[in-house]
Amino acid sequence: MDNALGTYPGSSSQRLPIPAEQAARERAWVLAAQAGDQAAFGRLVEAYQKPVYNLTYRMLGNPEEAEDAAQEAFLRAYANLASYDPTRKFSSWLFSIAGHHCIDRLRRRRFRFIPLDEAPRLHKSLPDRHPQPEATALAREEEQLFQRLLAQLSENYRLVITLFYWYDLSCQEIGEVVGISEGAVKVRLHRGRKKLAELLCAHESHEGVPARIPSPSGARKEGRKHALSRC
Amino acid sequence: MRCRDAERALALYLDERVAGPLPSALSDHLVDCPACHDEWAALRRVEALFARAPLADPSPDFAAAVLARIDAGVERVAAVPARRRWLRRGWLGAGLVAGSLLLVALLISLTIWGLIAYGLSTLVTGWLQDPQVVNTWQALLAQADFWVTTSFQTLLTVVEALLPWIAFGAVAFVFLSVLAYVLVLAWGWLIGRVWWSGPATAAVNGG
Repeated sequence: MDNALGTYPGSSSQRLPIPAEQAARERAWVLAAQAGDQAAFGRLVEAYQKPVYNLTYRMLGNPEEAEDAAQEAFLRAYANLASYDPTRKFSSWLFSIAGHHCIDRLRRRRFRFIPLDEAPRLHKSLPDRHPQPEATALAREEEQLFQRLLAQLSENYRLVITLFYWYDLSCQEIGEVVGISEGAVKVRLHRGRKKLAELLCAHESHEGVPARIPSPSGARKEGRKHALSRC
Repeated sequence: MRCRDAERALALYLDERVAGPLPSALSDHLVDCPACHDEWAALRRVEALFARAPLADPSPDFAAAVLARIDAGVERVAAVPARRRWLRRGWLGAGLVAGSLLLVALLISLTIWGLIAYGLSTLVTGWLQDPQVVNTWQALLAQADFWVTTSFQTLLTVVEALLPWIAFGAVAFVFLSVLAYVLVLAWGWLIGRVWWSGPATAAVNGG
């Protein structure tokens, strides 16, 4: 049983590194872009296209819409470069624009009528840009499941969760990106994680994945309400 | 350690992205408490999902597409006259104008309605209470059946009784019109926020 407790399972090597070592070059690019140098802004786009696209993809769940939203986030950043305060982290500022743009899109989506037979398109997974062997089919399936679970979180929770797990940002930095306090970030993280765990449990029990073998100590307090005790 | 403390400690452990083992007090509790253990197991599976989730790649021509859109957007913004740009920005403006018009209309109708109500009520009651009129009517009615007299008096009572209600109605009307005004404003703002979008131009305008 002890080995089941284990340690933190997330490996930081998977998380997206934010090009911090580029700080000096980045500052020069930002200043040049603020002065109207489009090529310098192009450098910034190249440096940040992946993190920004990953953010919009995790938020929106649809590769095409994510690409459009990521482009639009850069356009907004370009249009508002003059209001960027160089003492802030450029990445935080950019993520803030992208994240809020995604939330706007998701809210707008709620008002739009989506025919039932088109709705599944929203959960389409990443297109296959690099054809890979059959072995990755399982990973792709998991990715689809994961994206479906994420899509069931409310947009505010999804943004915080995405920023926490794919970007090396502290809770305080996430708070700055989202525009909430560090405490509020932690609350959203906690609730978001719990919700995801419940969704995963519900999915597994629905799919017929065998539930966890009951612990031998067996002294379950039946009276206490625990949504996850079935798994 | 109680379950509530364990939940808090777990959240802290995950928030801090600690790479080492769980604090001993927490792992002891997890061994003892199956419910918390299950919760930890479920959270671990979520964490593992995150750790395995691939990074999404944009298309190879992403940066070029952004720069192309910037070029297109800058031209479009330059082509939009200032007056039109103000109009484009302004669903809120439209909401304000519509709301103000509605308010003015409401105020006018309220004034007219109030004047009519007040005039009519004073006129009718005054006229009904005028001794001459009363005498005339009573003289006439003296000849009528008893129920006519009764209903006349009832009518008089009713009109008098209704006066406070008319006043109340006027106050309620004012209140409701202010409320309607606020709602129209909010509606205009909501429409502007939710529906107004013109992809590139909107973005370049500053969103």
